[in-house]
Amino acid sequence: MIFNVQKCSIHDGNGLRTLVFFKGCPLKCKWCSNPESQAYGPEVMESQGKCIGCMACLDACPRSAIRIAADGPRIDRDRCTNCLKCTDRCYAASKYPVGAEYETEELYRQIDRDRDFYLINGGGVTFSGGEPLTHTQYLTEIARICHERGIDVAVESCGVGNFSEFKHALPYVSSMFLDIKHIDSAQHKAITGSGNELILHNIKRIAQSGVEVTIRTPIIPGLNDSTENLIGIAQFLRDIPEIREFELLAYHQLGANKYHALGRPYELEGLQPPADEAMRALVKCANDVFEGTETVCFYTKDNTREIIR
Amino acid sequence: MKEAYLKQQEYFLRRFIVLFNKMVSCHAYAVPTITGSCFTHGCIENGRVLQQKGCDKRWSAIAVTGLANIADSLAAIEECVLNKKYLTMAELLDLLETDFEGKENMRQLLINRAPKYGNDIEAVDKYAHFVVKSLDDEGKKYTDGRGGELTTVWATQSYNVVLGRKIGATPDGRRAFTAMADNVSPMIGMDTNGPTAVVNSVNAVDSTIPQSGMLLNQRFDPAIVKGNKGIDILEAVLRAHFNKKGDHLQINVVDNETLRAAQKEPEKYRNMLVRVAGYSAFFVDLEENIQENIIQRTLQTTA
Repeated sequence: MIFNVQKCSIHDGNGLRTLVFFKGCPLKCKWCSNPESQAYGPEVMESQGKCIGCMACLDACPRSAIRIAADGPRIDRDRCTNCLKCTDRCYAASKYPVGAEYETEELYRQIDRDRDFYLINGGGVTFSGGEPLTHTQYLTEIARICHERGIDVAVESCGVGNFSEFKHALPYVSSMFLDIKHIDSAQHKAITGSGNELILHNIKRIAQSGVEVTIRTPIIPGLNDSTENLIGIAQFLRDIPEIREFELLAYHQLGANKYHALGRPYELEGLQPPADEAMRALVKCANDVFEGTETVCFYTKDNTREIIR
Repeated sequence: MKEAYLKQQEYFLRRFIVLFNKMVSCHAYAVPTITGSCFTHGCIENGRVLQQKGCDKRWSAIAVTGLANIADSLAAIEECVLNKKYLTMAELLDLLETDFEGKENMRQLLINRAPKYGNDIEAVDKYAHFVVKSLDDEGKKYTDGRGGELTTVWATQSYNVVLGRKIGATPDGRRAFTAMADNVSPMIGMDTNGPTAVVNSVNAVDSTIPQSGMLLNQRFDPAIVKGNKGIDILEAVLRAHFNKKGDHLQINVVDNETLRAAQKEPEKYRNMLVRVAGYSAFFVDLEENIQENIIQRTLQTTA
């Protein structure tokens, strides 16, 4: 199941890219900026700003799960069965479904529509999520189709998946972005819901398979932004010579609205993004560990790589 | 539906051309273009100005705007009236007559349940091509008042704002007497799939048909075009547009805050140039409604 096909993206791979977001993820990161990517089935999102107050959704709901709240009609998620009937009725698309099944050929046609743009400076498709490595059969099929027809394939992943299954997709993938959210497994479990053993193991195997790997760490103030953690991750990476790039991503609050749209609480309400100096200090600290190797740590500011040594 | 559209177009264009020809006939005597005639091949040799058939080659271009409104309206009728039967044609006409008064839900339905031009969706982009081609074909049936061929040009400066004030509500959900879409750009706020989708939609129209061109306006958020990656976006969008035989693309890179600030303190922003449509102007010199129109042009941001 796919929840978004986003055209013209520049942040996840070379050139202009189409991002395909798989729905469903084994991790539950507290800061996840795409909470609609976590569940494996379709869901309803609510954009109260678009609501025109016609109340048609109240009639449409077979379980009487929609109540009038301060900001208009809202779904009681405990009663909702995601039957999507309210989204069929909603005139203003204020209640709308997320998650759709695509035949691989149909998805390929969507990706292929921007082929002329990929040709200009090395773009292509990036499969993201959710977790693409938990949709192995589908991922392998669509990656193969794209690769065989000349579209570059990248994958963005949290690293959780069954290697013996997803290894079949790797021959069609040119680059991967894999996360290490915390080097300490207990801490990793506390902030994402799972330990990191499988992730670290998969990272090694993917890097050794010949796919170009960039490791990413989202910097979440108070959760994983200690220098100790950064040094630990850098030390782990130093021993994998195939990995040359380590990117730090600054936490942002852009996903907060989506939690409200899904009727869920956002645990990190009010948390401020890390300061620029803090990001620079962490990049430097990782680069100190990489000294004498070919690996480099950076973060992106104003669409440009900042490498601090 | 297409036949009904063509019938209206035929009726309107006949009237339009009669008026146009009366006007150019008057021009020949009241306001002859002496300077232009001096620099146009044939006029001096023939001893006649342009308007008196002085030049060997003669064309008049019909200037048009609001392609998106027509394409979106045809798609809305097809989807909401003919296919899904959410409402009848009589009900739709009533909504337009009353400017959706008390029926905001139906206006929203027309907006949200039908595809919109500018998002790379064939079901609506095909109508953009149909409109451009059928108008050009219809114009070719006539000659202008000086014996020239009639061609088309989708470039009208900022007339989409002025003309919109004369035009009632349209089936795409546009309210009565509000601005039309500019030239061949998508309707304000309706292109939600980014600039590559806009370029693809515009190129669904054969750009060789309007002999005098088709104008596309795009506005980018300055944060997006910053840095090396930002230049990549501009380069890819521009190159791909012209590789696809696109005719014209103009880009403004100014954020909303800056434009709003310029409205408040025009003296501080005297030199801020914006592309309007086919020409550039100092933002602070533009009429307020045209400033608003530029601010509302969908800002292309990407993730």
